Amino acid sequence: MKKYLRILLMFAKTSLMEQMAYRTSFILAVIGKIFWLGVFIIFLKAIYLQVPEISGWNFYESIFLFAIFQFITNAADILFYRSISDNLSWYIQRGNFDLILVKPINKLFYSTFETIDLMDGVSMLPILILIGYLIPRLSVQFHLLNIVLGIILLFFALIFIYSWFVIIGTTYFWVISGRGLTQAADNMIDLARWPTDIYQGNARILFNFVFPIFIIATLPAKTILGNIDFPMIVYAFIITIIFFVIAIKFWNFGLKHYASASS
Amino acid sequence: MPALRVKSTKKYMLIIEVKNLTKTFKNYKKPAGFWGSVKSLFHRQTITTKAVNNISFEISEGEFVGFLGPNGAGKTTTLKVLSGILHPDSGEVKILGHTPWLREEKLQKQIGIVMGQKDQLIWDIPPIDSYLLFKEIYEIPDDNFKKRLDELSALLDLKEVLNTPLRKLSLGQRMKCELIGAILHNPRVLFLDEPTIGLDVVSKKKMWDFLKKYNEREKTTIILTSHYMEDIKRLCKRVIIIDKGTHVYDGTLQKLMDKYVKNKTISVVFENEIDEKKLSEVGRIIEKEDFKYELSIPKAKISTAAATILNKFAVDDISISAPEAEEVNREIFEKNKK
Repeated sequence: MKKYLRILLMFAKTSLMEQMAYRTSFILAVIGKIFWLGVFIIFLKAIYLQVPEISGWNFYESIFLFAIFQFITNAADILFYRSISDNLSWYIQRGNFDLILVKPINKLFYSTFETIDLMDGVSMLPILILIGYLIPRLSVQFHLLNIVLGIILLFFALIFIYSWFVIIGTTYFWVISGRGLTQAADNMIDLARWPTDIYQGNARILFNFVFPIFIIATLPAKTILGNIDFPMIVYAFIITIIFFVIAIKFWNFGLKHYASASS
Repeated sequence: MPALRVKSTKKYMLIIEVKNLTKTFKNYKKPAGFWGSVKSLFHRQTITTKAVNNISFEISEGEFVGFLGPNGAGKTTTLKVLSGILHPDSGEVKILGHTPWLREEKLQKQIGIVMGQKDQLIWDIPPIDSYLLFKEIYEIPDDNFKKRLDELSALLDLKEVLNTPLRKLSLGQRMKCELIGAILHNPRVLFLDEPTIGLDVVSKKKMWDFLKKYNEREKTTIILTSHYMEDIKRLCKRVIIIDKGTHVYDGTLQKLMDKYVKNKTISVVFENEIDEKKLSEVGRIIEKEDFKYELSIPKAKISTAAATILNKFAVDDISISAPEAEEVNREIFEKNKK
C-alpha cells in the first residue's frame, strides 16, 4: 500500500516534469476551458430563450448539471484518462507494453496512473468558479445530507467513467490502432452533459439500464439540488460496482490474450 | 565494483530450466491491395506459425549465454517467454524456481530486461528521474540506490548526462542509460534483446567491455540475443543457435566455429599482374582489388595452398585468417536454408 502511494507520487512528479518540458502555457489551458464553458452556456441560453424549462430543469439548473459534468470528466482527465486512453494504445502498438509487463507492480495500476495530467488540474479552476457563481442563483436550500450523498455519487461516477475507459483500453489488446474507438467512447460519455430526463422510450432504457450515463452527472446534480431518489441511488451503486468488476475481469482477460497472441 | 549481493554457496546452481518449450502465433493472411484489405474484413485466412518449437536447455548461475539466429528465428520469442511477457503453448520454464508468466513480484524483482528497440526510460525527462521511479517500483533502499547509481554511471561514463533529458542524448548514451535502468535493482538474471542494435563501433565496444566485466564481477546470469555474431563472440562462452524455431546448436563458440567453418581465407598481394586462371586452380577467389586477392581454401589444404602460391607467383605479402564473424553467421544460416 505504502509502495503504491509512493509510486503515485512519483507518477505525478514525472508527469509534471514531462509537461514542463513543453511549457504549454497554463494560462492558455485556463482560457481554453473558459471559452469551452462559455460557448456551451451561450448555446443553453439560446435554447432557454425558446422554452422556460426542459424536463423539469431550468436554465441555472442545466448549467449546474453541465458544471458537475465538467467537474467529473475533468477529474477523470487529471487522474487516468491520458494513461489508460492515450498511452496504453500507444504502448501496445509499439510493443513497449512488454516493459510494463516485466515490472514488479500491478499492471493496471501502472497503466492507470502513469500520466497524471496536472495541466487539466488548472482548468478545474474556471469550473469551480462557475459552480460558485451558480450557487446563489439556484434558489435551492442546500442540505448536508444531499451534499454528502452527492459527493459519494460523484465518486461513484468517477468509478463508472474509469470502468468504461478500462473496458475501451482493454480492447486495444485486440484492436491494435484504436483511436476511432476512443473517439466513440468519448462521445458516449459526452452525452451525459444533458439531463437524462430528456430522453423518452428506448433512449431512456438505453441511458438508464444498458449504458447508464445518468450516473455521471444527472444523478449527482439532482441529489445535490435536493431531490433524493433512494431506489435510483442504490441502483447506481450496484450497477457501478458491476461495471467495475466487469472492467477488471475484462482487463485480466485482455492481459492473458496479449501474452498469448502478441509477438 | 564490489559485489553487492552475497554469492550463492552452491557453485553451479541452475537458474533457468526450459523443457520442451513450444510457442505458436496465429496470424491472418492479408491479400494484397485495397480490395484485398476489404475482403479480409469479412473473411480472413489464419496462418499458424511455430515461433518456437520444442526447445529445451538449462542455464547455470553466472553464465553469459548468447542466442544467435537470423531475424524471425524465434530468439526474441524465447526471451519473451523466459522474461514472463508471453505464455507458451506448452512446455515448462523455471526461472529461479518460478514460472515467469505468472509474473510474481518476487521473481520480477530479480530479473531485468533491455530491449534494443524499445525504451523504458521516459523520453522528456532526465534519466535520473526515471531511475527514481524505478527505485520505488523495485523498492530499492535509499543508500543502495545511491551507491549503485554512482558506480554504474561512473563505469559507463554517464555521470554528466544523468540530469539531461533523455531525448537530448545520443543513441549510444541512451542505450547505456537503458542498461542502468535494467540493472539498478541488481537482478540475478538479465535479458538483453539486441542491445547493440544501431550503435556505432565505439559505443558497441564500450557496451561489450562493461557487460563482460559486469557478468564477471556480479555473477549475474545474462542471456543475450543477437543476429550479430560479433556480439556473441565478444561476450558469450556459450551459444545457443535457434533457427526457424528449433534449437540447432548448444555449446561453446569454438566448437561451433570448428563445426561450421570449413574454410580459411588467404589474403595475398602480388608484385605484378598475374594469371587469374592459374590462381583459381589453387582456390576460389572471393575478392579482388588491383594486385590484392582473397581466396577461400579448405582448412586441411591451407598450408599446401600457401606454399603453391609462394612458389608459383611473385608475392609481395601474404596472410592467413579465419573468416570474420559475420561470414560465419552467413555460413551457418545459409547452410540451414538449403
